Amino acid sequence: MDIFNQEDFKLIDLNCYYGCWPDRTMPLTETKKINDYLEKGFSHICLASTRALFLNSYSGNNEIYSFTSDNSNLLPVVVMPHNLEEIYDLKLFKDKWLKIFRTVSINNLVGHKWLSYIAEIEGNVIVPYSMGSYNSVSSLAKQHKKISFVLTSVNYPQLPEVLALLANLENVYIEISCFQLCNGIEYLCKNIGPEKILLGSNYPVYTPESVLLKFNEADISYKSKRMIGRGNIERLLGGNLL
Amino acid sequence: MIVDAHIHSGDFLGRKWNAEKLIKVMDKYKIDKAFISSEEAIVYGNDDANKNLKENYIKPYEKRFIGYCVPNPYNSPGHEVEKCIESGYFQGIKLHPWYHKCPLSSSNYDSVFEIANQRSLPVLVHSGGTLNMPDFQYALPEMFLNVAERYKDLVLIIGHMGLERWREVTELVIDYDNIFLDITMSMPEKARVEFAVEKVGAERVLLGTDMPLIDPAVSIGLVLGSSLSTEDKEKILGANLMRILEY
Repeated sequence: MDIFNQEDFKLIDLNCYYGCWPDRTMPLTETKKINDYLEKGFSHICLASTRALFLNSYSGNNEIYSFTSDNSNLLPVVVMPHNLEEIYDLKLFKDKWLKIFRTVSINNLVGHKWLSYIAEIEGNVIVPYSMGSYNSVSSLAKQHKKISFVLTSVNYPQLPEVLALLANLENVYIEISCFQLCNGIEYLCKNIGPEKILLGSNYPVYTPESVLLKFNEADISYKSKRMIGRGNIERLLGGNLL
Repeated sequence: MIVDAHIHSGDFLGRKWNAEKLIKVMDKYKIDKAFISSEEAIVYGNDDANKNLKENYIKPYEKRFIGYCVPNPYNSPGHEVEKCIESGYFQGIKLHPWYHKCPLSSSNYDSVFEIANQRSLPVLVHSGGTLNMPDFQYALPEMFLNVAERYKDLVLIIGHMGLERWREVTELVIDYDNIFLDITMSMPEKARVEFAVEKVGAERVLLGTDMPLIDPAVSIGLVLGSSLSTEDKEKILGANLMRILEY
């Protein structure tokens, strides 16, 4: 059984972590491990620092900026501060193409200064849906139409409300690492279209082979696979990454 | 050969399923055989649920489906299991203590375990992991241990291997050779299957998918993506269940 067999295009993984998770020891911090990961079929990995997620966003973001700065296959994901009153100068990272942000909690984001900056650069915000709700996502997406909101941590229990968000709001997308519904990729393609679906693995929390196998075996067109595995993320990032 | 220890008949989340659709997914992932239980029996405890499963799924496709009989613990469960086994289409039992509101420690299951013990039938039991959730409370880890101690020839399968409490559950069952771990879960954490094999051996770890709710890629990918040996992967993916069934 092939895990991933598309020979003519490489994938982009939108959802990976750099560092350790509480109660787990599975760091993605060494060049060799990064290279091993890329060999699974990826051209680019988007990395968020677990230090930024769990401890200190400023030092964690600096860490990921530094780690990704000399490897063009790695794209940093900036974690928005836990305390949203904490503002620091994003121009610190100006040398690196920064287009992806990740929020820890969405419910108090409305009106936050970071969103003005992200809207200005037409950036993307990854939103763990478990931390949000239909109303909070809907409200933010309507208020910031230049920002693309990518819902992650979505599984079948959230399907009805997430389908409604995806169908009703042009700037809302779904990342599929946690979406485990049987024939789920086919279901999303049929109901909301492939252009709203983005590939991510949640590595190293989850094994990437699960989502890669699901993606590889999905009964959808080659064009749709290319969009989900690469094209949509490139479009959100503003152009061809190669 | 790939054999799935944990699939269901019935509709999920408003999506219509039938035997042919399940087989299409099984073919996609090269699943040769699957143990199937009736969602109708689990959720509603209907009298005819096991019979309906037999007629609509197992009998027409007996090379692909192996039946789990789901007895209602409040309605002559031993008799229902006997009836299922005598039909020749069921080779295992599925219990869902939470949905049936009957804890695994209840004597209502005694007749079921006695039959399973005599005939060495695999018994798959749903387990939960969150302390304050009912699925955990109805099938506490110590209840599994108690059953395994009382019925030494029983093949007792912990469905979902305790969900997020998989580390604790795995550690607890190390010395119980008749307890098996079913890896069915939505969260394909690489460490889970490797930890299970390290602690209890690959012989006691079984592939389960929860199809048609969960996509089989989650569990199959978890095994294929692990750092286990090819031999151990083959055991988990099917050889263990074939051994249990003495094929």
